[in-house]
Amino acid sequence: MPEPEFFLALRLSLLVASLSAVLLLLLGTPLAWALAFRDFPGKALLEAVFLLPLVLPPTVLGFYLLLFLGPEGPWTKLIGVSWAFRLEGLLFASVLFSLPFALTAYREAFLSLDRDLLEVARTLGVPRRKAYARVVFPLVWPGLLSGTLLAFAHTLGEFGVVLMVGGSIPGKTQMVSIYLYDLVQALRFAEAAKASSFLLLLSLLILVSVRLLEGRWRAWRSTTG
Amino acid sequence: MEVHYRVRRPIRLEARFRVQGFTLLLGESGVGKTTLLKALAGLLPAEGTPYGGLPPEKRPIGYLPQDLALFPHMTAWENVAFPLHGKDAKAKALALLERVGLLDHAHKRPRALSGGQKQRVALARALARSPEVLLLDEPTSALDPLTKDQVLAELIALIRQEGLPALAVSHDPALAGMADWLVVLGRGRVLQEGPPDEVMAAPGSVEVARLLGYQNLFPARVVEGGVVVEGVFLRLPLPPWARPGRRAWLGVRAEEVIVVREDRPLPRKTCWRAS
Amino acid sequence: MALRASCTPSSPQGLEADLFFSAESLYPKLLEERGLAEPGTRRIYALGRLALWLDRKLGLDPKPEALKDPRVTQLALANPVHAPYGRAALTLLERYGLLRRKDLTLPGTDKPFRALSWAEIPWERLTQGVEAYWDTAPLARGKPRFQFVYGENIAHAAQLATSATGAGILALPLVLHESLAQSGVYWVAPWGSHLALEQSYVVLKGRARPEVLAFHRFVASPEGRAILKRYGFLLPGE
Repeated sequence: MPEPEFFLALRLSLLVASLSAVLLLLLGTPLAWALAFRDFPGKALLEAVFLLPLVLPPTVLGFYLLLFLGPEGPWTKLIGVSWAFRLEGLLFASVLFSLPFALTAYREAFLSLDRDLLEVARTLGVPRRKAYARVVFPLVWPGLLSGTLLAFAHTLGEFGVVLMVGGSIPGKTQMVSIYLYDLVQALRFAEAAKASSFLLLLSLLILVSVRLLEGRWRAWRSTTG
Repeated sequence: MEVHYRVRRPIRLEARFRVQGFTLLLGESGVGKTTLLKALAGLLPAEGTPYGGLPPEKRPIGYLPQDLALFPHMTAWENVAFPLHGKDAKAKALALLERVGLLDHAHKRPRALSGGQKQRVALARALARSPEVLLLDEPTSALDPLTKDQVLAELIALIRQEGLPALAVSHDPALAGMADWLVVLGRGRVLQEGPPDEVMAAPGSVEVARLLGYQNLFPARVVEGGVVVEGVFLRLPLPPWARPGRRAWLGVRAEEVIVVREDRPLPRKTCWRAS
Repeated sequence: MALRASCTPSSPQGLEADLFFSAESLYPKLLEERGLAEPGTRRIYALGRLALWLDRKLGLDPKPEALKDPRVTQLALANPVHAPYGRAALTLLERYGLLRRKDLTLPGTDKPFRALSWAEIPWERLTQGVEAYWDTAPLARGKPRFQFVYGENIAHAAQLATSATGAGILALPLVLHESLAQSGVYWVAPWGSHLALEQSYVVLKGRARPEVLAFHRFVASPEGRAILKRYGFLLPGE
């Protein structure tokens, strides 16, 4: 079994990954909806900005984020507290970093939705809320869920950004990827191997359950949909 | 029912016509037939009567889009029960399915149904919200070409049974014969309306004639007792406005022409010798 | 040929390099013990110097006591779990009474933590953060909060100090670099006030080619020493 510090780091990683997944779901869904169905000036630029974390090296993103969240940064001036080396900062960074993954998956889910369904639902005298709950949600949730799980797994494995904005404080900002890196740097290969295989199994478990979920949904759609 | 609608986007259109019984709105693709239906359903910004200014959920209409838009994740009866609420929603839905003759298929999902069956599920679902009028977009497009006339005739019979006025839009003049009232839509406006046989017999313009399926149109000159087309005299009953010497168009529908072999006796009709 | 300031775990795994440079003597010794270095080639090339760096905007006098000022709420270090400069930084703070060892015995050692010499501390096991082993009261007293922030190596610590914490214990050559010298003020720790950073190098096993040995000699030559001196290193024998 890996040492207790590993589980401390893992717990933090799981916390940051699940909180940022929830934030991405809340934030990304309306955003993806707008990108899928609305036209507004500057849309192409906005899309490009949201996809930027996909192509930027994570360390570059982390560098700018640290300046942004640091004591002299514009975000700190705005809210009065610096989020650097804090859970809030890690969350901010993770949400930004995983946004392209979630956003792309969500947008695909919405684009595959037949818009006639929603229009017809409205002509059937049903309030808009009920139409969303009974028609849109059941059809898009598998796409939203797999996008969210993907973002979750991505956050769990993220290294460069959290390295830059986290400051590797054990129990506070040291995520599991950084903890492993520190172990390797300290030449503690045996412990690193134990912790890595544990993480490997966990990640595999997550991905397998995503696949099973997707498979079940697909089967359900093709035989009965 | 009098309809008068003005739409600016996506197509500029002002249409004023009557809907009585099963009304067919005929028009080429791109003139805004679907746009007009969506405007009536409240799905597009437009102004007009009836129902002007109401959101779609407040309009007593039953809208059947071209692809029918049945909810793929619900069974037939769940689709029909969608606009219903209360404990007896399922019983009501099943009763509606029985009315359209689909009770046996109540537990199937849309994918397992034929085009005609889907259409009847969509009709039952529209009936469930007790509409004042049905709106049908290209009702034959989802149907098998071999059986579409029969399936549509059955659908129209069902609608007549319900005693509901319906407005169907199509580009197919073959449907005109089944309608109670025919409206011809041109670019941006209504060209002509009336009972189908009257409109078919006397199209008001060359454009209407073409839309009604007159594939052969010739420039003609009116003479006493008929017209002259490219030097050939044709004996015809003339409409009252046709005074000798006036220019006119002669329209011939393909199905009104028969081709006879040279060695057979001529029918007692107007004949042309062609080579 | 490889020059690595931080320790390089890849080298025992077959790194394609001729010489191994480290910021201390532990890893070169380790290579020697495992027979991965040419015997007798381990030398000290420089003695690492520590410096306290403070952002000019804090307006503080650069000396260890300045760290008690409430304006210093975060201090950047290299991670002591694996970075020699981070380990040295903690011993420096200890020497100036800014950190006090807690009363505990580390797992795997029989002596109490307090009794361990700097060289005896099992640094690579201190994975719970400084606060778990040292009492930080002298640094944290009278402040709304105080925390250590760890860089992956000394250059990363410098970046954290300049962009966020405003204070850091860094390597002297970095502090002398213009980007840090302009934005901050610094204090050089006297030699002997912290864990000795005997920056050592070795020739790796089977790499003792003439040109490698020539470079090995060049580092210790007057010419090589002059270059190191220019970058702020203290040289062996000075």
